Amino acid sequence: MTAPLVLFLAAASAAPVPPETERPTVTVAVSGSPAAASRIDAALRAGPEPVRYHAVPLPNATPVSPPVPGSALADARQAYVRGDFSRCLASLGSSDAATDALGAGDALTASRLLLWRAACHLGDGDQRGARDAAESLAVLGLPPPPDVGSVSQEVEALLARARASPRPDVPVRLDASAPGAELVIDGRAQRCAAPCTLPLPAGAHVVRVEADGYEVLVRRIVAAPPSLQLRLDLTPASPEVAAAQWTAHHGRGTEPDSARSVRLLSTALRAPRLLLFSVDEGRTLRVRCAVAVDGEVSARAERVDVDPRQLDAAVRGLASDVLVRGRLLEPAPALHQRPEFWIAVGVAAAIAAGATTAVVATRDVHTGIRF
Amino acid sequence: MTSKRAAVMGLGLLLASCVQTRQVELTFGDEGEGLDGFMCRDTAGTPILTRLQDGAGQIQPAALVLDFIHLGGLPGCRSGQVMSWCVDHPCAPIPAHRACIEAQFSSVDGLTRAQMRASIQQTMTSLKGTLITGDAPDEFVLVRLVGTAQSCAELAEQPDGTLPAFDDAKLVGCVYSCPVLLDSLEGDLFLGFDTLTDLCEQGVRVCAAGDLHWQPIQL
Repeated sequence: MTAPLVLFLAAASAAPVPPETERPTVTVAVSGSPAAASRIDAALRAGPEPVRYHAVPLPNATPVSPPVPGSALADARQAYVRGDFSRCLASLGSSDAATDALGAGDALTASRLLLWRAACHLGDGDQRGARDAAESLAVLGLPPPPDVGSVSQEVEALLARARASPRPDVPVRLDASAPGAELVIDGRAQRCAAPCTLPLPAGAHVVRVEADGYEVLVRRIVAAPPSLQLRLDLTPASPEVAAAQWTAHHGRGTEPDSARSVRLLSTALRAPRLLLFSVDEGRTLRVRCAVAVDGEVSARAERVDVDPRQLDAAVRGLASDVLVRGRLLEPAPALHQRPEFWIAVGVAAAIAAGATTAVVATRDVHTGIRF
Repeated sequence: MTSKRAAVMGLGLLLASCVQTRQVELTFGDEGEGLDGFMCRDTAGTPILTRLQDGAGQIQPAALVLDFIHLGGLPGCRSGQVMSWCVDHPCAPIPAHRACIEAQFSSVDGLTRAQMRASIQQTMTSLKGTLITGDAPDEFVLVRLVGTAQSCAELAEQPDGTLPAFDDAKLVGCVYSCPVLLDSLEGDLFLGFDTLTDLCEQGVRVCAAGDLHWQPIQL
């Protein structure tokens, strides 16, 4: 009677799975030692889940900063000393160079660029250009660079006048399309979280907007009375930028499975379905697992006090758990909901009925009587 | 052959293969020792087998009526045990299973007992191979063979499903078996008659009675 049921269960456990190429791919990343990552990868590949695991290393990228125009400043300085002010200005490049430097957070370079621009314009006889550069330096609130001792007293006087010139503060309200975006104004150390309102001296400023998962935005704004209100739209980060952001903000963190970390990882690893393991190694292991679909964490699970020898089983259990709860895999239907179960029950009943009939029923016997 | 016909034939073969057909032969013993029930004499000492003689002294065919007596259980084999059982059990022939054939006996006038046994045995032997019934009841029964001067037609099952009683005055013999389940019987079925004397007409009446009850002799 039980034989068909046993056969059914055996067949169900060995039910055909889709071919490798038809299975959904799940990207697997491991925060832990290389040995743990290797064991987790092997354990998952040996597991029964009908998915294709694709192991990738965690990002380890550094942010790409624009090159500091150190040689350009040296060329400009030499040209200024020689009295070749046209070459000086040419060496400094466009007026956007200072904006770029501030956008990169390099206030010193921005300050030097503006100083030499003012000096070269003044030497070239361009009073207006010199005044604009000095104004910019004063409006941005940048301290005079050490190079100030190398310029003429006229330039120093120009800078002093610009700094002393009264400028009204303009209330500036800044907002960003990305939630939790941070704003850096004129390369200062202080930041504010969008949306924020702050008074800025009237004039041109540089705003840098940073948010995890978004490209850095550098925008030159002009604060003009009576007020300024701006909304800055950010574009989603490329995988390379996301990798750099993850490395900078979460690479050495203790919570790699936090929502922000996983969201960045999904982008950085180009993983619409991401399975992230983190293994804290000690005498016993603490294994955490999170699954994210399209960057959003849909399930988490954790095992503590895991015997290192039992890591494989713990990993398979965690993976199965979060893949089902994260709706990447359908939960196995209950036994009574499977048609195969009722087929097996029917076969078992038929066999039982046949056996009972064979045992209980007697063959019809016709006995003839003759002399 | 159409597939439908083949299916029907297949089903028939399947059903047929589920039916076991057996044959049981009646025996009265190698020496005819079971034939005492046909050698009884009446109170006047006349063999009851002479009842087959007509007025002209000719021996008319006898009807050998085979009945399967429903016992409602399994009593002992001795005649006393059977009769005691049938006092409080519905012992009666099963009407649907009554079978009857004719048999031609020879005259037993003047024959010694041994000669009479041999004559009767010869008659029974002449019937060897004759099929009496093709399907015996599938229950414990007592098989009884009654010889009578009545005809088979007189003793056939009535339209109302009853069996006519034997005419005691025309009984010429009776033998019976132990209670037996014929579908399970191994070997031949022995028919006999328990008596210690040849004045056993009374026993024949009891044997041929519808309910195997004691039948006093009408003197």
